[in-house]
Amino acid sequence: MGLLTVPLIGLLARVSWSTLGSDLTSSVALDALRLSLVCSLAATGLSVVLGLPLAWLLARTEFRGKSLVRAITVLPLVLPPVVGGVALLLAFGRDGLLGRPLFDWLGIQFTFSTAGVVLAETFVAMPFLIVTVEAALQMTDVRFEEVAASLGAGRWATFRLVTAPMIWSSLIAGVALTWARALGEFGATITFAGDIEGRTQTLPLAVYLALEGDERVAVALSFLLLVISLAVLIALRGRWLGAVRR
Amino acid sequence: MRRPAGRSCAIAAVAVLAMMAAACSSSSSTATTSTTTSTTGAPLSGSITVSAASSLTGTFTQLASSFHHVHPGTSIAFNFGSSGALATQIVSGAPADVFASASPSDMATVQAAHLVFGKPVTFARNRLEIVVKPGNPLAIHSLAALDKAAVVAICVPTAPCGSTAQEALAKAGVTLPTSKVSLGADVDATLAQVTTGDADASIVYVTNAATVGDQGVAVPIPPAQNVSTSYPISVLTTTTDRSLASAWVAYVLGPVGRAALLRAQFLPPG
Repeated sequence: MGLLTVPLIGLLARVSWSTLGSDLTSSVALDALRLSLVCSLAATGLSVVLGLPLAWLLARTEFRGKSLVRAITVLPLVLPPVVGGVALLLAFGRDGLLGRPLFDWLGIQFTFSTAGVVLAETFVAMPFLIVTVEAALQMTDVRFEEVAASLGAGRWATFRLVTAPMIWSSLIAGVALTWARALGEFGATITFAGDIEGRTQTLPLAVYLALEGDERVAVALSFLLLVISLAVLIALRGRWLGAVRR
Repeated sequence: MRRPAGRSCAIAAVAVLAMMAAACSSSSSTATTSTTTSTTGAPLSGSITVSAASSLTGTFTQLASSFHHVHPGTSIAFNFGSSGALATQIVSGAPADVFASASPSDMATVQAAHLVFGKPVTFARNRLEIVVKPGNPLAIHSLAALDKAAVVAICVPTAPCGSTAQEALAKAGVTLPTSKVSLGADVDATLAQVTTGDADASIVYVTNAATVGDQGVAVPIPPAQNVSTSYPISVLTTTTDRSLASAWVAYVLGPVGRAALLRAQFLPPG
């Protein structure tokens, strides 16, 4: 417990309260905050759109190679973020596997762009959503969905009216975890999207650079991130992975 | 409730593989200790930590291995990084024995905290150079031509390579818009943005440009626009082995050190 609380207390003790307002409203801080919010929300949205079907596939269907697919979706959870950044670079960089054709034929470049930040954040955060939702789906009784189907409901209607309400708590928890992970992402972002103020310099990157010379600003930005994280935790109020409320 | 057997096994396997990979890739840079032998004077042994600017990585690592041949009982651990960050670490209590900075101002920060033993000695100087992608596809031949680049990598202003780069750009009358500038925490990270990443150009030291091989092309900056920085070195008062720390500093300042620095394209301190 001490291991967890002492660093937090240490951070709070070093916040310069009198200058907090001006530190957090400087153009660097506002740019970083805006970027962080926009990119993390976009990454969360993308994770839901791509991750929900994948979670449903893993929980409800059987197919060859399913354990491999499951291992790959969980991989970003255990991969060191900077390694994820290198992998993204090798795949989507201008000389990368997919990046080269994307750039040569469509002129699309992900590195050093806000889209690249969203890509990096989705890569590291989506597994959180997949794992949470899959666990929840496995705990719900598939017979409810079978009954709905036998009564004539299509797949989307079944999901919307029967499955979703049953896994709602877990879905919310998964979305919150995914968003928090995307917000805090550093290693993959700085490796893949670089550090451009206003375009790719999210809050964690701004803290890292401020630490080099302006500790007061770094502490202020860290405090902001801490407050945001605490707000998410309090909003979740104990509803964690796999909890199913009827 | 269904719980497919393959799931926990697959997750466990991935986790174990990941931990093994992480463990295997981390390595320590300390040399192994062995029996002490004496070459000149008393036998040296023990271990020290040297905090040095990242531009000294190649040279100091080489010097450490030849130092170890001369003094086999010793081990030197390096802490390379941006001089601004290193100075902050030392002032905050990081246990280093020697500090080699890429700028006098970062050494002055440590001196102001009364952590420098004696007087720092300048042992080298460095200048700036532009590094671009192999083949120089955008035909960048000067600082002024940097506006052709979509992204230029420069060190953070708190690193000596960053502040000197800003000075050089100002001297050349070039202003790069913020949306084009990607900041690197230290000079190695900045160079990597061109050699490994997609940045079109970077402003780094001549000594870094000398190491790019076929991963980049160096574009010189004329003396009128170029800015040089001096490297002071000093033993710190927090050293746990003053004789070994002083011996290392003497080695760097001596003929072997001077030769290694010149080979790496540093300028002599004069």
